[in-house]
Amino acid sequence: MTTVISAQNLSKRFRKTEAVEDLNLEVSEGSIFGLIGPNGAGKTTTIKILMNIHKPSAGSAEVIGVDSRRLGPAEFAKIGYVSENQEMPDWMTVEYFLAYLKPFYPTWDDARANELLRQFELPLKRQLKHLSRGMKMKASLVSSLAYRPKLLVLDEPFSGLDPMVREDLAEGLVDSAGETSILVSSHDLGDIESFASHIGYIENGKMKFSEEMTSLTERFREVEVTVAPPAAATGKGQWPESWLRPDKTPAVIRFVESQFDSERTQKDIRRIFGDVVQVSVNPMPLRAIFVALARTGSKAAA
Amino acid sequence: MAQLWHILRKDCRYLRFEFLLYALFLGCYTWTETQVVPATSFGREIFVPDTLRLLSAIGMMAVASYLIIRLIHAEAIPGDKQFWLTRPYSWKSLLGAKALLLLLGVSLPMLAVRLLIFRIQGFPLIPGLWQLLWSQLVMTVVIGLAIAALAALTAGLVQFVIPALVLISVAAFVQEDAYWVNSWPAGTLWFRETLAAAGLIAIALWALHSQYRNRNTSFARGFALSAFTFVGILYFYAPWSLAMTVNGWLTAPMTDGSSPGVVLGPELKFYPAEPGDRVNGRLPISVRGIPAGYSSELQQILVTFRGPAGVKQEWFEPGPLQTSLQGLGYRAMGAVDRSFYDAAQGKPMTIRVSVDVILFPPVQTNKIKLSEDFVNVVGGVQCRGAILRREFVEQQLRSRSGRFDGIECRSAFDWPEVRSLLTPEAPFQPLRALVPSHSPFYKGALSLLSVQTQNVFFYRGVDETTITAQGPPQWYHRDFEFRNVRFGDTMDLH
Repeated sequence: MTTVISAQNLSKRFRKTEAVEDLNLEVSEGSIFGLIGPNGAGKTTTIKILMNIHKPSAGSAEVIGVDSRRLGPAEFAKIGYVSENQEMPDWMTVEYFLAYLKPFYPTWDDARANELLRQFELPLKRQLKHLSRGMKMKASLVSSLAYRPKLLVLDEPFSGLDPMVREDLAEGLVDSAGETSILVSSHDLGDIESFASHIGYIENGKMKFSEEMTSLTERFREVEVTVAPPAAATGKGQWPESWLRPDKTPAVIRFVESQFDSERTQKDIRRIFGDVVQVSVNPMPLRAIFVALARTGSKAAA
Repeated sequence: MAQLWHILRKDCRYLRFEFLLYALFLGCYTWTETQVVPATSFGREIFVPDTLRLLSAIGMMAVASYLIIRLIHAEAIPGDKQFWLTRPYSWKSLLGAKALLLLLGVSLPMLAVRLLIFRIQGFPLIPGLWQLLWSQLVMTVVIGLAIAALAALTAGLVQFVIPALVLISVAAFVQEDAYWVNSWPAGTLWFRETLAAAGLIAIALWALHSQYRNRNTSFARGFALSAFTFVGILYFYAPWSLAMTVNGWLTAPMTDGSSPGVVLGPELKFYPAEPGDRVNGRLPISVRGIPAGYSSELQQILVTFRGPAGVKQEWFEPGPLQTSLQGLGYRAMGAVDRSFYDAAQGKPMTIRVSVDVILFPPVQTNKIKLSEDFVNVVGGVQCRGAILRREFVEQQLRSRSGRFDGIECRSAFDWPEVRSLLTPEAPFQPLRALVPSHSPFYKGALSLLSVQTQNVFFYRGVDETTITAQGPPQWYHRDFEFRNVRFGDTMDLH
């Protein structure tokens, strides 16, 4: 599958701060890639490098087949970019904003723009400065989707929005998925877990892991092992590194298996604890997976 | 090109209130400048004090500057949050749109208004129009570009104002103190000023190009600041002898093929007039071969003494004028260090002298009737007789007594390069002292007040007067050298 974004060993240093470090990233065509991580993890910097707003200190990135440092008008005509803290021309009305941007894009589709305007219920005659934060994000999204971009990049688009607006925006994104590849960043997994097809987790400027959402949910399980006391929860031998956040009581051991394979996991349990009373394996919601990863330093993430 | 016009139309809409304000100030400027007959009262004019004229001109310039800043900041270059950064803007279209609006929306209306003032005031269109066009172009390039460049290096008005104030203060300090750090003779100052203005234009052009093309603000700021400092150092410390050399390059041959000659002699005298570190000297210089009817004026003189005591360059002022059968003689006055004088005394030296000479063409005489209408006198100067207004007398002459009559002479934008005398009522009272200049920025380039009224001369009871005028002058530069000359020589050096 072709990639629309490909970054290799990307680094960005601001004086003494390493904002992004040796970051690798691949976004496949047609996918919705969710870039998540805590505040200050390096998501925005990564996106700004990809959008040629910042130059990388080291490494390189290709966006829609062009070196990010060489992105120019021809490429931006195929890329949409929406950011929570973007400075908009606030004096423009929504109508004029769209009319102003239209000639910049040869692929501008009026029907699509009108459809989105209807969907988002945007007041055309109102100046951008008089729009609420959510409305502004919607206007920005309309202006970035109306030309059917090949790639849409969204930096924290849901931050600080009420659930209704989030829902509207997410709907707009899902409608565009397929013809448009999407990279969306958020510090809150809940914002994107419903529609992202791929996920990347970034922390302290480093990409901890990046993979398909389905494979992620398949390889993480919450395991509870009940042993017969005093067999003790310590067991014998080395615990596999893929077991995260072990929680031990004299009779019950709970952990997160980050490389779940039914047969192999059972084998490991028997090797360490011998005959056990009961083993219970439960699928995990994404939020729980990320909490486990974040708290263990993501050693077993990959 | 389509994108350029599209951005330009958007900026027109964005800045519509600013343009309205600008139009208001242009109107105000036009009104004050067309009421400009402060000294006289024939019953028609409204008295407009110079302060009001200046305020309206400064107001117009302030709004024009504000417009330029807002225009550039509409798509600010520094920063990483502007919406346009990730839109398909071509940097050439963006820069082109800004430049075109600066030209069409700011500079052109100002030119039109100045032309209107020029015509309402009754000045002849030619040659005033060329001077006006040149003046507007220089104003746009020097002031407009500098403001645009600084705006391109900053992200907002507050960010703009602080460095602007610092730069203006530095420029004012440099201009004020340059004389004390490294004084230059008047005839070479144009070179120093031209150097600074050219440096400023080059820095502004580079900054604009670099910012719009590469958007590397930290680098551009650092480079522009370094270049500005370099220009400042050049302004302070460049040797004025360099300006003399350039004056020499720019000297034109005489139109009739003849050429004035300059000789040293007959005597070279140095004397310790006062105890101190310097020894005063007198250098006799004669100007010969001046065409009939022409008159000459010596400007700055550079003297290089080269001998066993080393090399010393000094600047001499043209001293008192003498007329002899051999030509016009000057006694240039200057001084050398006492240590150099002591070391060189009695030893043979080579003296190299570089001098600038101005030649004035034959005098033109105009007899004018004193009436309320201005009469063209020479080279764009107009004069008329006038009865002074009471307000002017009170303000300018600090007098409350009676009526004053006078002659009022004026010129558009700046005084032309003429030397005019009012006779016989005001013998040898020049209307303007000439400062020689080869500067492309000369000729009233940055003058905001449209009409320059100069030297109103007061007298009573005359119906007509004669005005003599000479101009425009021609500049000459001459270098000559004498060998085996000693301090204290009184021999004929011919």
